[in-house]
Amino acid sequence: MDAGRPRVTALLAALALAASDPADSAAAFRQGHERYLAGDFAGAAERYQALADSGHGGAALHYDLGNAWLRAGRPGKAAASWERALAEDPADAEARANLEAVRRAYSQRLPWARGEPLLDRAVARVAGEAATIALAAAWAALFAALAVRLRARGSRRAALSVAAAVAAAAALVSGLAVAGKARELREPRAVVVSAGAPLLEAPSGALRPAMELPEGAPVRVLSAEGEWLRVRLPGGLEGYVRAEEVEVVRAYEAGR
Amino acid sequence: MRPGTGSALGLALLAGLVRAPPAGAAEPSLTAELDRRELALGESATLTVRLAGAEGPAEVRLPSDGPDLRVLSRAESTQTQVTLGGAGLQMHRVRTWTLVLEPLRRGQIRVPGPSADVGGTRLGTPDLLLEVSGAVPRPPRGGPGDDEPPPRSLDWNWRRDLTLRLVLDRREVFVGEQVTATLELVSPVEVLDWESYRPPAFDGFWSEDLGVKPSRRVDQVDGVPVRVYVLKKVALFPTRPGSLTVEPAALEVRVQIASRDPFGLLPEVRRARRQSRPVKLGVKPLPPGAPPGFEPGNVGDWSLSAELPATRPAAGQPFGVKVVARGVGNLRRLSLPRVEARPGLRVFDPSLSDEVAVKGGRFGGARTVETLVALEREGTVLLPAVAWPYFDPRSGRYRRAELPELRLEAGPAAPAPRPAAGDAAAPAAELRPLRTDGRLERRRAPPWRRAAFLAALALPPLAFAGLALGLRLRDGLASGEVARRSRRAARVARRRLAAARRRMAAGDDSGFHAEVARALTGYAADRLGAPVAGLTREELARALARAGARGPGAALLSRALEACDAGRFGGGSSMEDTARRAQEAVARLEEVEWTPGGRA
Repeated sequence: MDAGRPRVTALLAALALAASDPADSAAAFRQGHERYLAGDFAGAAERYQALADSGHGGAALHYDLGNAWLRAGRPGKAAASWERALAEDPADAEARANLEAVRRAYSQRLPWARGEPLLDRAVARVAGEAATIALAAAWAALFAALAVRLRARGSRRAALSVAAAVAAAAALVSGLAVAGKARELREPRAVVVSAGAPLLEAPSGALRPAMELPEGAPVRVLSAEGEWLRVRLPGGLEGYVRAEEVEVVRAYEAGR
Repeated sequence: MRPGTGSALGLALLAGLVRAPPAGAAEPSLTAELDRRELALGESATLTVRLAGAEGPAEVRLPSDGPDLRVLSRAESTQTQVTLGGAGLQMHRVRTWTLVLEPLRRGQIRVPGPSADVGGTRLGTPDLLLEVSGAVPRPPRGGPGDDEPPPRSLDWNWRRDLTLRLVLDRREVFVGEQVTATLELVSPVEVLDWESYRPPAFDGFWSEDLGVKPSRRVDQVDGVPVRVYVLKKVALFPTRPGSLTVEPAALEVRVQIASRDPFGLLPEVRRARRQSRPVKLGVKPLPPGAPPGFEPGNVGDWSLSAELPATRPAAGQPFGVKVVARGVGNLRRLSLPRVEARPGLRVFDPSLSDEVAVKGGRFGGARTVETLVALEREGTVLLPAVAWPYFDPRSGRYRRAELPELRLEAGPAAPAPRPAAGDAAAPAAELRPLRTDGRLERRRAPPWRRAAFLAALALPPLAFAGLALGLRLRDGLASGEVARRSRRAARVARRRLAAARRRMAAGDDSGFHAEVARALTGYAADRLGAPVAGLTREELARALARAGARGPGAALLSRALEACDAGRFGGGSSMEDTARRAQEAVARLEEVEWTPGGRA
């Protein structure tokens, strides 16, 4: 992937965000709701998408965007939006329910697909902020216990040793969660957003596709080569899809 | 009749019957036999001696340790048979001695024939001959923690009989056929546990642990009950023909032996290291005439089956074709038939999974090869029947497992599922409602890249390191102050002692003693960091002890002060002695680390 392009896009989005008035953003969000409730799902999706493209986020925006895309007949984009909502707030039960409903409807197209590895699923259930705060707190508790232990004697010293060990274990677990979240930025989730997206064995449009991916299929982006993304399917198969056929899900700004 | 009278009469009658000389009783006889006549140096033979029909005491002479032979163990048993026949009650008793003999040299060895004196009659057997050939290697028994005692010590027997052995259930197999190796620990005493297990090197074998839990049974060895601990069972599959050797295993054992205290209350625990002997196995090559397509790892007793998806997939949609082999043999080396690509059929890389099962000690289970395939268009693709050859070692013949022809069918390609806006598609029907009260946020950098988090990570270790450094510096300063005070006190004390010597040279006795006393009490006060004037000798000694100044230095100081008191008030030791004692007291106390503030 061209490393410069996302940076330019992010810069433009940041400039647009900085220039935008919060009142205008809230008004645009409300307009999206009004269009949705009036049955103009495509119009609502456009409003929400414009907000997202201008650097706004939050689970609520992505959740509403997902609903609008589904009603507009774009299940792939809907799934990507709910994935994004869950990445920002893993406890969002409504986004999870909507995503699972879409996955069920399309799962018969992926009979070979297996679930994600346990560790990936566990990491997906943890919010990045929560893991980071937990790591910082456990880290501070570890060194606080070690500091007090320096001058402690007898049973107090033993109790502080146990406390330090517990804090170290907590720091390790939360550190693993943060590392998992960081990996999600490097190898992000993505969702196929066009129907029958061809999966190729090499990044070349001249090849016959190995198979066609259904819209809404979740994949993991391993690397980018020009306009191609190398992806891994839930069953473990790997191949190449065009970058425009999938939407990458990231909870945070990437590239730094 | 009183109770008990009848039984007493019966016992008397029985005693009379038994005591009466039985008519036709067999003459006493003595026999001796060896279980083998030829053996190698390092091996042992069992001598069984039977004395039959001997009533009453008998004096028996058995082979004992000699220059050519050593008796490793000796056991005795008695069997009594009572029969009631026409001749009345007859009793026949057989006494049996079992001796395990170990030759000590090569060549022909004569085992003295046992003899017995029975009721004035002398019975005997001829000498027996043993042919002893070259030595077989004995496993080293010593090792770390095995402090082998001299043979005559009390616990020699258990050390001699404690052995680790590796037993193979077969002596000759085909390449790829299972032979089961069992590791057993034979012990005459209770084994508490074992550790530092070093498994045998299974060079030339594919090995699979059979997952047997350690167990214990009791066996009779040479008539002596011993505990046999089964530690491990391993399925071995030879990978090449010829004579293969299973190298020794080793472990360290803790055993509990009988106590030596008079009441037997405190059993003793001993350690010993044991190593098994290498075991040889003959491996036959697979017979010639292997059918085409045979893979050398396909040995055992196998059956083949295939599994297809229950529903007909759409064209272009991948699905799995499973080929499963079930049976016994080395599952891990099986090479199963593959699904090959053909016109209209795309084939992806297969995945492999094993389900191990051990039945009756035989390793086996199911190996599944799942191949993801996709029909490129609607219709049927036939996979031809497969005859998969394998070698069955039990029958010694090549066999074939049959897989029938497989019909892969695909329906029309599924249209891309794109529900129209607002239609009754399942996801839309289950959709949770829109959130109109949600709040917009700004996208941010990941929290773990924010400066606050990096500071939160860096600060605790830095603060901890600073605190630890500060405490160390403070301790260092405090100990430096104590050392300075100690040096200063010693300097002052030495100056005063030098002044005292000058007074001694000038013949000023009382001045000398006063100066020495001042030097010592001043030194103690400086080191304690508190005045000592007015303290009795006992109080001063206690203050010194509290400050950590114990030992000869404090005692010398006390004695020097007493000498000063005695000198000032007449009598006592010489001034030279007092001066030397004071100097030594200061020198000794200078070496001791004091705790300031030890004043009562």
